[in-house]
Amino acid sequence: MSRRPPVAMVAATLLACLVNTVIAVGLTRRLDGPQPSALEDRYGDLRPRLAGVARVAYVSDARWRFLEARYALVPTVLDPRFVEIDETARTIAGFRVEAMAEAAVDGPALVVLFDFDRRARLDALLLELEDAARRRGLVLRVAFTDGRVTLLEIGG
Amino acid sequence: MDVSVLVVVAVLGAGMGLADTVVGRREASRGERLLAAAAWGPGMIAGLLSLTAFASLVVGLGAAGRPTLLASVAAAAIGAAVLHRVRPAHGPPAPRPGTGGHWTTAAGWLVLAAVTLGVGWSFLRWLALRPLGSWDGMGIWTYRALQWFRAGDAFPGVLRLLVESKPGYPLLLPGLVAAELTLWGRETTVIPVATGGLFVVGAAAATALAVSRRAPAALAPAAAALLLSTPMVWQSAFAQGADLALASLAVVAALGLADLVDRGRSGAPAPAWLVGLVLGLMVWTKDEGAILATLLAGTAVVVSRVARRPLGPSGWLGIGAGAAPGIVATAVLKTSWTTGGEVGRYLVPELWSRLADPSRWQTVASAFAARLVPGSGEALWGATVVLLVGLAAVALARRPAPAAAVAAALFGLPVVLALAADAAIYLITPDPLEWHLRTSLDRLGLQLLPLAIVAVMVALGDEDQDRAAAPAPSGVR
Repeated sequence: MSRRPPVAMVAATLLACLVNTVIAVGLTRRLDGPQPSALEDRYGDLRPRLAGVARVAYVSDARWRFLEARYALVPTVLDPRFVEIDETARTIAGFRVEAMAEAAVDGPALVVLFDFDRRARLDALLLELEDAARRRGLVLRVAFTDGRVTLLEIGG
Repeated sequence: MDVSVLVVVAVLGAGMGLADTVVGRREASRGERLLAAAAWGPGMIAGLLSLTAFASLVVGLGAAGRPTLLASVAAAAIGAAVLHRVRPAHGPPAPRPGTGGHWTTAAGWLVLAAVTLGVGWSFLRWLALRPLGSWDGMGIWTYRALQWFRAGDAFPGVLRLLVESKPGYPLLLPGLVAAELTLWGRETTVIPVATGGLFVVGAAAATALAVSRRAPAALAPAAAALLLSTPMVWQSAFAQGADLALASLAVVAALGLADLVDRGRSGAPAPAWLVGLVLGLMVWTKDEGAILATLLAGTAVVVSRVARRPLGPSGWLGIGAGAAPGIVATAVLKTSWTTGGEVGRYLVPELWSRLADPSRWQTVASAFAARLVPGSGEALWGATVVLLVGLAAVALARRPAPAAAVAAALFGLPVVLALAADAAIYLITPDPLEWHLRTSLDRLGLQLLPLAIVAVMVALGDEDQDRAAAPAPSGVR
């Protein structure tokens, strides 16, 4: 039994591959390097604020903010730590937030809270952070806030 | 009881499944066995390891260590080798698919080789220009991994990564790979590259395997080339967010279901439990996988009844048993360990006002149409969608033979239904609609693309055998 595919079908498929490849090569060639941080567009250049800070924790309730923060923070600090807060109040109130707050307070000298669209989330996290700091005899101070981004300094 | 037992069981199960499916086909050529291994392997092994790691944490066994993992892999390899030697050939031999035209085969392989080189080049370019990636999946994996590694608990940390990550991405093989790569100090780049490469191979191999078994073999390299040449693959494979993994699992599951429904043509179908296991892993892999697995199974129910080739209670029981681990683990993950599913966000009173908003319908329709119309700004799908729509129209006009129609329906109907389901989700999404479409529609398409390719190839390329094939017996072993 012989099973031959329609020649026209194979030809059309291979032609589509050719067109695809031309487009794909063009798109890939147009790739460029790291993009300017969208954070800078919104909040200005954060780097002066971070100058001299050895370590930074980054906390957000939005996954994609990691990518923005990367370009803003990585060149500036030696050991950025990125902490993501999940998107429901259940988790904000749950053990994971506490663990994340502990991690954020443990290492960095500065905590950056970004883009909390819901105020309740930010308030819940701030409470957790304060508790975590208090247990270590540390103090949290709000260094900067514009309602959406908040920088917290951690001191003795 | 140690966690190693669970890991051994899972990996051995995968090994047995592969052995049964790949090695059990004594009539298959070595090339087809390799193709089947490449198609079944990546998604299944990665999914089972992820599933096992999660199960070990749920039952309080803690995390596995590297020796445990290596011992498990060794056990799986030994198990597969033993099965290879002792397992007799089973089932009647499959009809020889024939080779089709030599020239078309050679042209297909040539194009596939060129396209594969192109995809490899795209990996290098992404690596050079954006070593830290561009998308959430890669960003999360990379930085989470770095965070755990720097905390000094690399391997247990990797397993925590598996279960504490984005709920939609439980299939985090990169974490397991990363544990080994800490020694290299290159975890920020090699993890996603290796993962992307693995699942690119898996998706291409699954597509080629399905086409080679259900359509003239000469079409297989062309089908794989069509998948790999699609610009969307070039754009997303490097920072793979489990979309290609899900795509390969979906094709393997559809092929298994097609073999079970149409047993007489396939000779030795994969056991029903193994097909169910793949469906369960689809649920475990991504939220969209739950929708797609449901549609695949539902289509199989309908098609088997319409075609009067019912699977029978034993077949469905086997599929259900196989799917249970993935479904149960996902339920536990969603209800106890993570933030839960997305369903609650959608089912709110505002749902009705969103549905009644004509502008949302228009926006969704425009976004879908943009993937069909060349030059409308959506170059990521290149000529693929246009070709598939055109060939599907030709196939419908020619009215494929019954056996081809049954197989094409098993692969193609879930694609159509999934697109309809996705459109409905977009209509009621609580997120900004434009953002939701922009960030997810292309990825959803990527998950469905191999199924669509196989459906069209099967519908158009299977006529000769359909006419010669004997009526298929019903039931399943």
